[in-house]
Amino acid sequence: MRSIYKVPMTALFAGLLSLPAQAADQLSGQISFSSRPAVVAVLYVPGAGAHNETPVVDQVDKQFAESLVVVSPGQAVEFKNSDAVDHNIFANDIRKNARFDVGLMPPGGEQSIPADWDENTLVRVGCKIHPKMRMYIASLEARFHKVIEFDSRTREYPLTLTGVPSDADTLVVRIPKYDVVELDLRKGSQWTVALTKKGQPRGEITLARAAP
Amino acid sequence: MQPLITHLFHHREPVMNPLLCVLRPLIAALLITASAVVLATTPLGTPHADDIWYPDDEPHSEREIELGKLLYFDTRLSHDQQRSCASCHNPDLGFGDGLRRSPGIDGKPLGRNTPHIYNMAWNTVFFWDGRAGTLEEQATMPIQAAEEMNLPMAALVTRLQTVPYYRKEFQAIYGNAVIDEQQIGRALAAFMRTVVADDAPFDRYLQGDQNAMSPEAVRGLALFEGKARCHLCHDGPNLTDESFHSLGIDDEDLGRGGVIGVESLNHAFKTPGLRNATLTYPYMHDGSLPDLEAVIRFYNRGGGDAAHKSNLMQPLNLTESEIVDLIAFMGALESPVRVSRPSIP
Repeated sequence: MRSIYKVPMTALFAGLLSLPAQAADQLSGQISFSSRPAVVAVLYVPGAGAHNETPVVDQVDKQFAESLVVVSPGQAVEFKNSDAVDHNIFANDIRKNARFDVGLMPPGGEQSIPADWDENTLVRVGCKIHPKMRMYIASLEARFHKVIEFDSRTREYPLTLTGVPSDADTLVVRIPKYDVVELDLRKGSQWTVALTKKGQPRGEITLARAAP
Repeated sequence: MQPLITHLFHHREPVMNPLLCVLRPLIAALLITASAVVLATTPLGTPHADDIWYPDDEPHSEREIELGKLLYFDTRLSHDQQRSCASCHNPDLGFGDGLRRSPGIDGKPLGRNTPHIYNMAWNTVFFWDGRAGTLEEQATMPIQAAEEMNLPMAALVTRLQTVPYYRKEFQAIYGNAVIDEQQIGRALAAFMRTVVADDAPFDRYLQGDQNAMSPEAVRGLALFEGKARCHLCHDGPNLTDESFHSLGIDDEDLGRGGVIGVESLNHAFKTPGLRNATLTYPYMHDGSLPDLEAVIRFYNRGGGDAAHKSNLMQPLNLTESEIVDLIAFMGALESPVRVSRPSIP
């Protein structure tokens, strides 16, 4: 089923052309972990954004093609099965009021899932047939966002954020199961913040604003 | 993910026998053309410590592991104080019990064969039907199951609180004067994560020791990834896709379907890891096959006859010598884990 939220590309381009050019900054630095790295992170500038396109999450080779997608609250995520086997994706996160089960999705199947749960959350999506499959839906309004994937063998990751709005007040870092981190972009041009999990230090993020 | 043709043989290779160099691509090509379903598989390999999921992202302390080991062997964990975790998951019997189905607390056979616990550290789903999502969660379930150890958690906590050693260790490790189910699960899981089989002849072969595996086992590996189609489910470093399949065994057990309510997964059971498969007899969720020869002949026939059988199951046309080779490869996965029995406090 195709999403009703999809906007024709021509309309999208016309809309973009009519927008005033927005000043943007570049931030660069590093994310490091002191123990086993997390799976994925999303860094974003909160605010009304332009998630005009429905995120598409494919399933291929018994894996989700995306580790994390960002949607505006209420917006749909479209799941596809391009695999050779059936899948059964679901989420069951009662604390965030996120509960869905698409049932059996055969190869070639598609289904849109509205992110109709709590805002400003990460919700884990899995497959009941292939428990190793895992991805996250971030339901939040963002003017800018970047998704960073990690692997189990690497503890340090260079980080470059291009296109961060110059008037952004805050950069938020959300990592599944980690405490939420907020960087105050109004103060200073360099930031070092601990990454914690239930209050325990698990790593660090350093960022600096590139000289104009 | 890579396409199957390259993915099949992506694990680290020793300097390869020239004959195998020729045979392997041919086997892969034959597999692809012979099968209507082309599945990507995770390369075989040796499990890596970095891929273990710990509750706190860091390895357990020696003290926590030792606590878990004592609990694992302690018969206080059962209602009648006659059985411990090790009664059914006996280290001397491949962390199983050698029985088709273990006797329950009332002496009657339990519903399924006792699964082994090798390399649970890498697992993401537990029990034959996958009803537990973490090792910590899994660890306390048989204790409380009426037909297994039949001990309510409150009663176990009371028992443990009366033992000075346990009081002291739980307090020191978890910082809480009151023992609870979560701590018990954590300690048991900490010990179980040390039951690691990662130094089999197959692992040494992957590291480049061409003599580590017999010629029969080397041929068995090629069959495992080729004609015998084993790797379509038994893939990755622990030789399991951690998914659920029906082999066509005809019984009333709904398996995964009974847990998640999906009819197409009725009678599907989790693919067991094959490390130390030589030690974990008998086989299948119902323990119906006594030895590896019987298992391979079962697959060679295309599995059981029940209508719910996975379409991955099909006759293999293995020759007698190929069956021998596959058994030899199973032998090359043997990496015994020695555990000394502790003195119970």
